[in-house]
Amino acid sequence: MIQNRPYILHRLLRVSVLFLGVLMVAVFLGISLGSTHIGFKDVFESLTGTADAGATIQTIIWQIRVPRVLVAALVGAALSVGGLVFQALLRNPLAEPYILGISSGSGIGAILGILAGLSRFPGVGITAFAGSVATLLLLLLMASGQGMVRRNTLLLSGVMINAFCGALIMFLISITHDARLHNIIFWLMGDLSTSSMKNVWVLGGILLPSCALIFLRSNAMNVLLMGKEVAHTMGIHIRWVTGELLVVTSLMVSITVSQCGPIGFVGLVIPHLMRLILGPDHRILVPSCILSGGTYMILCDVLARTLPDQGEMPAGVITAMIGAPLFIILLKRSGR
Amino acid sequence: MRGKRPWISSRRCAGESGIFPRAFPVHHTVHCFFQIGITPIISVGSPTFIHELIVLAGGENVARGPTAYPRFSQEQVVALAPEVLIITSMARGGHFEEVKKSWEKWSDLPAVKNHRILVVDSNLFDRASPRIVDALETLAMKIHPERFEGSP
Repeated sequence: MIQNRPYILHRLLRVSVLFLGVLMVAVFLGISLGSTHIGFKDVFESLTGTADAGATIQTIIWQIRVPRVLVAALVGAALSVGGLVFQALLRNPLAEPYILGISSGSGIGAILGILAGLSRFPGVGITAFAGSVATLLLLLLMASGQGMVRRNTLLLSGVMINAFCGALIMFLISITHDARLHNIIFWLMGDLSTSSMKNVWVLGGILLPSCALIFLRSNAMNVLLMGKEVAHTMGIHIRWVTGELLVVTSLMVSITVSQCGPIGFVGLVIPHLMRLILGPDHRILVPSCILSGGTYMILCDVLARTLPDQGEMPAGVITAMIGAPLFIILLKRSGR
Repeated sequence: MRGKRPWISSRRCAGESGIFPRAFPVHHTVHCFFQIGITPIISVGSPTFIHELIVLAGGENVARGPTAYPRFSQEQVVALAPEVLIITSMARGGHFEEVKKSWEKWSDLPAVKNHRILVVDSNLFDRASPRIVDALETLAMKIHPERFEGSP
């Protein structure tokens, strides 16, 4: 372990620089492309401040696109790391907050918070967090037999919790005449179009420390994957680490849900892709998932903004269209 | 709904209390964005009665086009730079003041600069009933207040 430390550091640095570069390209693309056409040159000049591009272009770039791209990057990072943690802790390659119903659980919390008249942050964030923790506990209770979380039971329980929570959300929408829910349908599909710098601060303030904490626990996740006995002998407090990671992940998921709605399958696509490229070491996987999750979400959002010839569609539509078929492929492969 | 405008001629159009003599001629047509949907943002295209109202009231509909009720993104609206932004909603009892506030953060928008984000009664504007004439009058007053100065 100690001997390969310089090697790991070196590899970590290389991977981080590479994916950071890709993320920067995605950020630039995300700021350049959109429903109004602005040339790359104008965007570059406006970003660097070398030329005055005109008030309208400045407004579009700095007040609409920059916050939106930053929110997308943060949300993508949080969701893909969330998926990675779930897959490691539950030892199930198909575990993901959205598939397991954690996102819909926090969606219920968020809607109840909105109906109770709470502010978007921290009020709705807290109720969303409560909802996600409640569904997580319910899920673990349903799927655990003699302390072991079984594979297919977990997925099935998650899917059913998801269906139940979805029905509950529809029920809440159908009985309320509250105008605060008027834009709820778009929010339910995972929408980034109302992002502002305020969202960036809220998300960044919570998600970045959480990501850092998960990175610190990445070695523990490696050891946990070797089995409980091994982890125990290597001095890992299994219950404490597992609980901590699950709570932090739920917090991250519920904050993204309360700000942008439930966006699915990001935590499935990116960790699998990263594992395919980089192998199973979580010390490398966590930072690469953070960076490429952000990239992926930005690109999905760019598609959501540019594909429709009128207006925009929610980014969650794109992530689900890519993620759900992949889930089926992975399920089929894992069954063999 | 789309052909001639019998309801207008049947009421006040030709009379001396009519609004046409006052609304026309105008010095310039005011660029208007008429928002009927909040999330997503939906406006009115050329083949709609609200478009005709805007034109009759001396405005220019920046959302005009072949689609009846086109969708817009925020940045498209900012790029269109409407001088007047009119909000009505299909969703009754919607929080229009919040929508108004959400537009007011774009301080470079001409409509925001001149404080011309208007919330109008959707009962008048959203259906082509005889009361549409009242809607036209309201709209003309809001788009060209200078033409109505001194009148009761």
